[in-house]
Amino acid sequence: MSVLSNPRVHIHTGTPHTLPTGVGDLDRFEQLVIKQTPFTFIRFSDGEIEILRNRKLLIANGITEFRGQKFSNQFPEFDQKRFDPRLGKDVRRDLLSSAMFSDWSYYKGVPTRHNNALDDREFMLRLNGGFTPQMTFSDLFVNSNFLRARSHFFPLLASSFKEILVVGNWRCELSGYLKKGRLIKIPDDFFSSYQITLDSVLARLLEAPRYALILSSASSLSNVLGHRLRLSRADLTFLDIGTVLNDLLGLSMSTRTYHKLMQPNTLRERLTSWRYRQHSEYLLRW
Amino acid sequence: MKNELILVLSGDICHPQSADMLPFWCGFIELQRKLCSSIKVSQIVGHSWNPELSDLVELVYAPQAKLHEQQSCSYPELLELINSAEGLKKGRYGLSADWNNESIRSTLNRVRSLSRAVQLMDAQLLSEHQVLIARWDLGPSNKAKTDQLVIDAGLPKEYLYLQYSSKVDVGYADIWMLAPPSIARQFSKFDRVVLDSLTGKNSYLKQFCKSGWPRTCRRTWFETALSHSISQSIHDQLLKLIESTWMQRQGRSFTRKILRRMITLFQSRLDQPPQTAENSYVPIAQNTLRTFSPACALNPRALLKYFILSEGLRERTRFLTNEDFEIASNSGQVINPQPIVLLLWDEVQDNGVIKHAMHSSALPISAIFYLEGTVKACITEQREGVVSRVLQPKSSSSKDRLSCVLDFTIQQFGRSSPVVIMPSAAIYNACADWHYLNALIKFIVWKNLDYVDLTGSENGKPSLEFPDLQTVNGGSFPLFNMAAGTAIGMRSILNKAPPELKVIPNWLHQTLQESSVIAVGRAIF
Repeated sequence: MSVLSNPRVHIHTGTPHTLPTGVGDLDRFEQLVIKQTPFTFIRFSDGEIEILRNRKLLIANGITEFRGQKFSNQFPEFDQKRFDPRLGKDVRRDLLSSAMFSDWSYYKGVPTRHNNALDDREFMLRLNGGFTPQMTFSDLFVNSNFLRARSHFFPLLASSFKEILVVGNWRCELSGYLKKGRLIKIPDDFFSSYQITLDSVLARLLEAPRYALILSSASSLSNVLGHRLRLSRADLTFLDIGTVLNDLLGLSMSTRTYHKLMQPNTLRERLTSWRYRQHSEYLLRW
Repeated sequence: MKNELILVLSGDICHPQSADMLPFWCGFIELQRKLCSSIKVSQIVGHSWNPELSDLVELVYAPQAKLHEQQSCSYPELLELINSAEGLKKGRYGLSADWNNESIRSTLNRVRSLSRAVQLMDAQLLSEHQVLIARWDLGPSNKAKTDQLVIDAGLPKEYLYLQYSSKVDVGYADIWMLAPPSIARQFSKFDRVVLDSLTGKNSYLKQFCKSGWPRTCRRTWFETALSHSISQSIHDQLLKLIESTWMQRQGRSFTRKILRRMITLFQSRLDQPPQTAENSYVPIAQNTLRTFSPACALNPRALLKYFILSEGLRERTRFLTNEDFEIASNSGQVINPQPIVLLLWDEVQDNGVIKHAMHSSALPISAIFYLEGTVKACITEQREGVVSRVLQPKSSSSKDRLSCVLDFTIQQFGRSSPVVIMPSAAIYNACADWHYLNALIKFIVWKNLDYVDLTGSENGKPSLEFPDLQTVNGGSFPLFNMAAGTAIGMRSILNKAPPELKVIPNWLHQTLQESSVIAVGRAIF
């Protein structure tokens, strides 16, 4: 029997566990929601990995500077970020803390095999202290899980909580099942005012009603907030949602490839959606 | 916790039955290079099994607390068990005839030195700073990059950091450990736990040899073959071949694009990071844990792993590699900088320039001497700051100027005072490797070396005592231009020189044919 298909023993309690799968891990989250068990989920994508590794990162004015190379991009203003290792020490320090913290209810999404990022996966596992059942995909809500997350998981999530707070860009306007939520606004490129923004947002979240749901679309700030709240408000459920609910936040739904999966209308859109599903990065693989 | 560090050093400064000091010096240079520039070493504590080298430790590290002992030659509890028939019967899990007295002594001395150093640290009631526990011979000398120190100021201080390697399943690298004081203190009993482990008083031998070593995984025959050194060598060669093929196949033609895609696919398969049970796999059912032969149980790394697991420290342990972070620009700290006397083939400058030159130097400058024009000494005084004094050489020849200055240096600072000669302060302060220079100056003082050329000669016989140093027979570098040595040593060489030092290739040729010159093998200025 191959190593990958063997049932595993939980290192802490001995309960069985298997290596992550996109379907299995989303099932687990749904179970946590159904059982009303508070938990935290934060994601470490390319940008966060660059900061952790202390590499310069620039996404602004149509240019991406990443791993020493420059590319053009079409990211909107709210997606801008600038990390300079000489200036961003406090951001990096807090991000490292969030990456290294380990807890039963603290789930971390990391780049994996389908991202062609095994080096980064191993790096994140080492920061975690090795693999634990709390390690999962940074793409857990997107790619092959996107439609299920949108049609089932997030509606279930939103309906399970009375109080919802959303941390997002100042341009956000909540709609759909998030309309009942309260928005906590953050500025564009908050790195330049990191400590002030963090203190201000954290102060408001610490006053959140008990057992509230926090959805955060705040780039690397989500990681730090998730970590801090897990330490001080373990009753809260905190999810880093990235761009998966952009339309419900009043933001553009054409900034990511998986957005094309949502309601393709024209033949061209359907073809693009089909082509994306054939891509090697579509299916989540550990 | 403040941003300071306690350095705890242990082990052999020089291995028994060996005179090889290269690891010690490499360790000193490596520590300086890799220590974070923003986390200052506030205190140094050291234990060694080389009391004959206590003066060297004082010169190089000037530790606040130290203990140098003769090596323990007996561990009666263990040796009795090993040597008795009863002992061999009792040790059914692991005590092995392969454990000779020498290897037992070596392992136990290594861990005992570490524990003693930590006990020494604890006894000093030092401040609650982060602790770096390392061996005297830390550094890449003959080894691959795997043992290089990783210290990053951004890392949270509550964890125990160790070097990661592909062999981490068997045991944890013990060459360096970075920990908060509360965890560091636990290592004061490391030697007792190791002794108990090897005498079968705890579960170490049972787990290692019979029931299954934690956080490991039995490999398939294919995985075992892949980890063999021959396979690794083939793997490395294949990767190089693929990279060079990829570079040659640049271009936009369809064929080349397809070829590059195939190469990239193949490369991504080959270039996967090593996966270990410690890091990548969830610990699996007991019957698939690895076991090892008893002969391998006398393994300091495996013993460290057992200690960390048994003390409940694993959850707070994190493994790092050299490639994890780009922190080179934040690294580097001169330890116990060696004061020097600086001689410049330059004309005297105003006080502002002199003070700037002194301030810019990573090594304290006791005095600067200007050898051109008016020969002048600018001496650092504690209260008065910089005090100037004009010297009167016998004549205006280069030799007499230098002699006058060296005589003054010997009188003022001592015969063994280290001297550095440079064309100008700007060139001196443009030093590209202060950590190496600091170590080199200390080596010069320790060995009482007369003369070391600093121009960066590439042709010579490498030194076995100090990195990047070589012995040159013949050469084309001008003497007394960029050099370092003891004041008395340089003076004695100067006695043989003609009046004008910068000229006369004949004299140069003659002199170098008669004797060898020690030179730094790479340019550091």
